[in-house]
Amino acid sequence: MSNPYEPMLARICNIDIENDARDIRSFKLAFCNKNDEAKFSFLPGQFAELSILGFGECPIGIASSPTEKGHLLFTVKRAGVVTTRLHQSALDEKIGIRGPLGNTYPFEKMNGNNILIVSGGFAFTTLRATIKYMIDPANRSKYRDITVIYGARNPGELLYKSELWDWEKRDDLAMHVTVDKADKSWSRYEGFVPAVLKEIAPNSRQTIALVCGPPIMIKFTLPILIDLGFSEESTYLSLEMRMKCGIGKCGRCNIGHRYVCRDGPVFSCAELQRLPQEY
Amino acid sequence: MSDRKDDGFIFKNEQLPALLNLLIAKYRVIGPAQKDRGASMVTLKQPEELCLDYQNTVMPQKKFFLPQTESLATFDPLNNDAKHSDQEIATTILIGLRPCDVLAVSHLDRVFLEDEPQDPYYRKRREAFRIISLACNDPQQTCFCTSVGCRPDSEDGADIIMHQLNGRYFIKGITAKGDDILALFTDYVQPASKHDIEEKEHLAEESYKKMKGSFDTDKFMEKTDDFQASWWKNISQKCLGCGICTYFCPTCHCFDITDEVCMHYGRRIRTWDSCMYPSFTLHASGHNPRTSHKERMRQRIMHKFNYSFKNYQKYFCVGCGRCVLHCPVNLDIRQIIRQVTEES
Repeated sequence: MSNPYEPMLARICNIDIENDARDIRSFKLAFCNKNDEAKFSFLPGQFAELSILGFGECPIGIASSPTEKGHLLFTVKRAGVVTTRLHQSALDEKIGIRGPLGNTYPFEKMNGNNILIVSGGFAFTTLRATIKYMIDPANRSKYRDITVIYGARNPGELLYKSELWDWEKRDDLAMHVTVDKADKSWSRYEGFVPAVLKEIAPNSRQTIALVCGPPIMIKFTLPILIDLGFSEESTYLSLEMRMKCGIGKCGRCNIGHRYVCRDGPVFSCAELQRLPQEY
Repeated sequence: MSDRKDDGFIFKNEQLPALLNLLIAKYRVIGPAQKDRGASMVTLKQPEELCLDYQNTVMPQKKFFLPQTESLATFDPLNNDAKHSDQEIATTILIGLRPCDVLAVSHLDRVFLEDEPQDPYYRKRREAFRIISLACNDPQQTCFCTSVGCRPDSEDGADIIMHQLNGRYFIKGITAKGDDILALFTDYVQPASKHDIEEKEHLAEESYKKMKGSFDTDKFMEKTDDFQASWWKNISQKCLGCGICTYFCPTCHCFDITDEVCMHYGRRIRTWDSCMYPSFTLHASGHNPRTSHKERMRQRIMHKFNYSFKNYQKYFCVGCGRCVLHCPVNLDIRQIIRQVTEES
């Protein structure tokens, strides 16, 4: 039988420093073994355990879309032992990858609906994958209007900047990028994500909302979504939790009787309402 | 399987060493022996080492299936390739486990075998082990298995069950693997008579009565649905957070995965971990969803008496009483459950 604890080997084929603080890097990984690439079938929302022998593993959301062939993208903030070591990695270095793990954004349910994406800071990664997936020519017709509200503390902290500005130019995607604090060069929104959401007031009819951001953003975003008429069934959150095994065994990442690694990380607000508020 | 229902066998106490010799000749056999600090499982070289006159072992027996420290992979840290362990485990007979500890193994099966994906390390061990359990005639003061869905003669998880009768043993196969082992004993055992079966049932019933009716676990589960109830704080006040309850618990199975390196030798290991420690849920960002003893003790109790029931329709407590026996501040889950269920 296959061993779910055994990582596949992947090569780092590109490293981008994402932010001014230089503590967020995006790593492009290519599988060393082509069979592994074929096996790694995923949809946006899922994550993987990145592994460096001697340092350990850490769960990181997959920031690329399955429509981007030949590589996977992981955007990693330097925080603990493994991510610090990862930040010291060089091009062509080999690291381990275990996955895909967890569930996906509700693509079946999203089919035929408007999509609203609300995200703040570093949590944009799997939503970047989702946008990339939805605007792929093969998929774009499945979704109606796509609205994206994305914010960071300041312009230098926004992820995927050049891509954001490309998306702004598209006519099949409404991009609203905001920063908490503007600088001289900034000409877009200034203000917190929930405030911009309130100002834009997207239509909630036949719309699925995908929300991912820091707890404080989520706390102020959800009431506004409710005011706009979004139901708990049509609002989805992607959660984080400390994890180890990633397959629902090690008992660490539970919220109530659910495991974020296996039953999440994407939950509808309706599901979360039924679980203890402990995350 | 129904034809197996009553076909137990009987052998005399004096024959036990001969039967053990048959097993020892063919398998690795592990059973309880008396040690300084109480009964402990040892690999038997001689039948005389086995001691079946004991109430329960000091430690639970989960370690055979989920060792406290287990190597998942070995590697050279300078080279990226890891070798994931696939060591062979010899067929081993665990004899004399108490039914509560055996039931706990069947609970662990749900997590490690029935929930996808299967855990290959656990599976390898589970497949290599045969369990001969020993029904309890003499429960300890701290035993409460009858309140949590177990019995002194529960068969769940065992391949064979034995009962100590007056001067003789009743023995019965439960699984096909158990029947294979029993087949070795053909020359030594006789079919159990009606009298033998009545005696075994009588002894189990007597044992059951010693514990019966201690508290209402189902009602407690309903109470725990109130996640914000004020009693959570009260019951956790004296907890030191030492985690000893989790290490002694036969169903606690939470683990950590870490890498150990010494020069050119590295290994990825998993070790028992405990939800009673703040680091268990501490995020790299510094956020911790369970900040105090209250949240951590609530997690432990909820996992045992609420979440596991929602996921598996089982309480992940088998009533072995080890947490009661070993808690340094005398926290007693039986008292907690009584107090909470009788409050309103």
